Amino acid sequence: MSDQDISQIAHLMRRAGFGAPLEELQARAAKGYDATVDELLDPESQPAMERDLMMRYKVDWLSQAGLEGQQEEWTFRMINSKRPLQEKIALFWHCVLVTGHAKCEYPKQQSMELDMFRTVGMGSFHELLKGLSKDPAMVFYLDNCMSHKGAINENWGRELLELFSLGVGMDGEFNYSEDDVKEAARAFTGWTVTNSIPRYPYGKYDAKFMFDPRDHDAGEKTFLGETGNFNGEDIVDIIVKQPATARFVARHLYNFFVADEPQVPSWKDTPPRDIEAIKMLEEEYFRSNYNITSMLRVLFKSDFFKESTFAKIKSPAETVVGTLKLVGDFKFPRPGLDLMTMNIRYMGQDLLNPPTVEGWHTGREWIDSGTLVERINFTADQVGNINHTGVKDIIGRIGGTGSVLTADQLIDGCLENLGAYQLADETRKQLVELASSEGEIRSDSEGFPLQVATMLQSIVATTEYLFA
Amino acid sequence: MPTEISHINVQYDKTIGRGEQFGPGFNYPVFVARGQDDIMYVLCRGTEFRPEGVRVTVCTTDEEYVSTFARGINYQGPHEFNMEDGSLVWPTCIALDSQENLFISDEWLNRISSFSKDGDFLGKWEERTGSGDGELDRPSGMAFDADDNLYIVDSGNHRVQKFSKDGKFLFKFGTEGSGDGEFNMPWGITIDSHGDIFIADWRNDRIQKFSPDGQFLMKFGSSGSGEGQFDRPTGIAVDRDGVIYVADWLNNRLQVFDQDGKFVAEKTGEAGVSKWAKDKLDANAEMWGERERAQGLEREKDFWGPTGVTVDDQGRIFVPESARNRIQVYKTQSPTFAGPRL
Amino acid sequence: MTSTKKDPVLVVLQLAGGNDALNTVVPYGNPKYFDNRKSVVVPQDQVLPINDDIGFNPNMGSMKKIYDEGHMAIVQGVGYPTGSRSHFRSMDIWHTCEPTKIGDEGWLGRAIRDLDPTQENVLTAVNFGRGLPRALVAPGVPVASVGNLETYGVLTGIDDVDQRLKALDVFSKVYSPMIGTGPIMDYLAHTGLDALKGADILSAAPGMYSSSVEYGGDTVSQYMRNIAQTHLAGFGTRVLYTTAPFNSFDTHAGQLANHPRLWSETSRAVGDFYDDLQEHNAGENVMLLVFTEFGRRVKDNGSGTDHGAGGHCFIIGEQVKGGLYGEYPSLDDDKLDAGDLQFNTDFRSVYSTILEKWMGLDAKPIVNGEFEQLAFV
Repeated sequence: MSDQDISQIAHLMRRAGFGAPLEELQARAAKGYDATVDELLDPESQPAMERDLMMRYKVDWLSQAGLEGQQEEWTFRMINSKRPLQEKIALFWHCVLVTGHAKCEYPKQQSMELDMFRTVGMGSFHELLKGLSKDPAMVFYLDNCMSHKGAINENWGRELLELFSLGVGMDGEFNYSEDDVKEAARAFTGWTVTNSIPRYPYGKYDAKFMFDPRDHDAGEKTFLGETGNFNGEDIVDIIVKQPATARFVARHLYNFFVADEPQVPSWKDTPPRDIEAIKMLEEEYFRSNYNITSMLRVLFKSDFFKESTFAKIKSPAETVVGTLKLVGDFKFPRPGLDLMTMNIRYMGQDLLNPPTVEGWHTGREWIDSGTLVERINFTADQVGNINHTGVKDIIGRIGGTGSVLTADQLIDGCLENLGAYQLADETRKQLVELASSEGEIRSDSEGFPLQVATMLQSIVATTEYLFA
Repeated sequence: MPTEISHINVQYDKTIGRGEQFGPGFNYPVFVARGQDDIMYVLCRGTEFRPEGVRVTVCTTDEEYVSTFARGINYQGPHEFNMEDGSLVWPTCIALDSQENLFISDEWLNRISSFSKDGDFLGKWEERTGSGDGELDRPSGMAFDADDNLYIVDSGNHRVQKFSKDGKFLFKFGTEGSGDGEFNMPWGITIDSHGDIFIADWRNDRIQKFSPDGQFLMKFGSSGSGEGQFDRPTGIAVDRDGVIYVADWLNNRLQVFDQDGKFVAEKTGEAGVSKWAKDKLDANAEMWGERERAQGLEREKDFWGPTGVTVDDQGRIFVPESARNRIQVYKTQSPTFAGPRL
Repeated sequence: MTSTKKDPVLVVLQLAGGNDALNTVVPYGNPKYFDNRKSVVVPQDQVLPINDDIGFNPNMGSMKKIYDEGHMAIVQGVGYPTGSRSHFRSMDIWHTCEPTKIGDEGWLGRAIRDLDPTQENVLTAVNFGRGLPRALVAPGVPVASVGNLETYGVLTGIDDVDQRLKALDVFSKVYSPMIGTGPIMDYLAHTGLDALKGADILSAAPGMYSSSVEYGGDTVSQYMRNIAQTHLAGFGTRVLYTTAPFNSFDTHAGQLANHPRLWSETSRAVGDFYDDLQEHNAGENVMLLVFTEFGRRVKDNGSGTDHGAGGHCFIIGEQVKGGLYGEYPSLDDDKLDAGDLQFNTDFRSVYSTILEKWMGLDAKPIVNGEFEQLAFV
């Protein structure tokens, strides 16, 4: 197989998953790019997580009563799932269809929402929006349970349109009016959750969605130009057939899987980076009856995707999970994973507890002088630890290429093992100087593992490595 | 021929505990050991975020708080864990020797630590991680026999090993597999009044019984949620009449079997408001009202994560629920004549 | 420093977990206190009296000394309408000044943006502890989070000193802005160099510091010492923040053992910090705010106290007009709000006072509204 194959598979795995060690990349490249895409899009073909083992050793993963444990459990899944796209799509929807721990305060309820994202999130967007409207975490998070017949709370109605489906506008025009928000909110009255059992003394219990017909405003509504005695499902039915919704889903998929777009609030007036790509995805949205897997198949097999290497700044979750996959020490539940997981938070992405209902701003906004230090130090600490099994493997593979290595060979070996990374000429020049400064590089020398480790550390500190 | 059991009548007695990071309450309780008088030692697995949550809570069966000892590892500072003596990482089981010293297995450190009943750290066996004789890989359930020898379920090695109290290897039985006398990541263990050994063969979803020298005697159970089936049984206990109790973990129930392994009954949970729970609710009085309004309050009765089961010599059955931070207590009405009155 | 008018500096100490207001400033003159606190109680004869009604927890001697000198304001009964008993939500409200909806920016993040709109100083704000509290978060506002000041830096995982210096040299060259690489690469380059510069400057602070004050060994003490070191180094840092770790003030159980220890450590840390700045004649432009997300239940639960409302906060500094502000919330049954103390001073009043009168900023857009100014400045 060619370097080109490896590089393309590495790109695919970074985007459709969280990267992979070189051995896995080689195995997947041998199967072929299209076959790998098809496998990723068919998660059921791969084994599920062994939850009994996870919960036997991480006892708190059964009840998921605490945010830290829940973040840790999800991180473990992202590192180890044989269905990487399932975890990636859950992360995608979590970043778009936001609920937050600061308000919900029951991680397991959000966890059940993630389970919906893992499965329904790869099916029909229509079903997903219907599920979301009835998801107890969401109903509570956006106050639909506080919205009553004759006294609506617009929060859910508004965010459903603005942040979860149509978007404020496109091509310079507004996608909906203030009246549409109010009418949507009316249609969702009576969609509520059960009164919960208090957390003392034995912890929380799952909330349940409930429809209260007495609190439902059954009157006539006019929504996006259609008139009828709409309920919530009718509103979702109308939403999903809008061109703006196709644009919204397409642009979010593009922003998450292909290349950084401008921040979401500017989408009304800022055209997509690649309108042709967006059009392809929009067409597939309608052609497939709003099917996300179909859209992703078009996306991953497109030229625009294959040409988009390193066009995205990695999110903190991608950075930490990708690094931990590489160093290979967390394949089985173990103490210490919580400390690793916390780094996602330190880098600015407190999973399940986003800063606002808009989720996180992405792209370059992940990076400031505070979070950059966290990111570089974490990745450098991990790849520089020659006791990690994955780092040992990397040292072994690079050492196996010859007994005396040139600086360029050392650098190329490191880049390949980190996932076929590429460096700007100036960066490479600097790293060659660094590698040459210690004299001859002999793979049988005592200092070789540290030489490799230092090179890996220097590479993960570059701007190039901030990208995926 | 032992006494034939005609009726096995298991009834709910009460609930002990509440969720608490420290003090009177539990944090992911996984095992109960019954000491002299009314004393009970509750092993709290805790989490790695709060070292004080990992501990042994000592209280009475009447829910009087006595003390707390041992703790988790402190994560502040460098990433290397501070594995100092007396600290616990993944504690799994308590075995009491004849002097009521506590032996605690730790399936991360592969360490057996011992404490006096007052909580003083007495010592630890030298860690021997591995698969050779006397070496351990994730020690889980433990039980002392009448001679103060300790049987340890060596889960990662899919076997049971017998040691003297000071840690000298005596013998072992079992290998990985699903045949008779083979194990798949076994967990709980108990020794009955005849010295026979029962093992919760966790990933084989069954119970196996062995003679004291490790000869396979019988087995029962299969995967599923029907009567007599298991979804990862964690703990097992046998009372003085030979009645067998199994904590059926992911089926969230306690199953009761006669001495031949025949299904007798199941309990899916009848928990109520414990004494400590009442204190907590009284201090947060509006929660009494919230409970009135709550939908499905009857769910509070249900087991969640029953992890281990212990019987005492008064015929009481203690089932800690790791996910509910409490212990449900059941009692049996013994069919055996106990005198002195007609 | 040569300038006579020094820029005002704000230090914030967050007591995470919800400090028990009743056992901190104890209403020992009120029989209702003893009626409600059957177990978790501070004995009357141990209280350090402020007046005949209230007094400090016996472990707060160092803070009482500052109070007696007139440099500490106690704002009693601080809170916000429809209090939340959730740690996360309540802390969020304190951080974003949005009690009724999910806020989007931290109040100090906004203040920092106003203090240094063009990001001239990479160290305008520094947080001690890992992970940024939401109070400091606002888009485009970089804040360094320092886990350990002694070892703070970039690429600290390279053990070999010589190797690390070489790698840092490469780092600085790699992050040098290159012409024609576009705004994103330009931004990343600047950010990288800023990070390096900030780390270089900060890590110099401990070396420049000497003091006769010996801080305690607990985390809060060590971070308060780091804050003193950073302030004394004169980097122009205006906002310094730290948090008591582990939600330690969350005393649901075992409070009689834990709460005294917490206050003995915290009070000493505050006293040492105050003395340290005085010793260096560097305290006149520093104000310290000590706050917590909520108070605890009026009635104890047998061994601890659960989440409640209405806490106190403390403002300390040479320029602070010491004394009592707000009213001590009533313990009468009919004055309680579902078993909780009722707040009487909105926390945004405290913020507004600090922002306007101390930091010289327009508080209204930062705290989302106009609130009564208090007289402690």
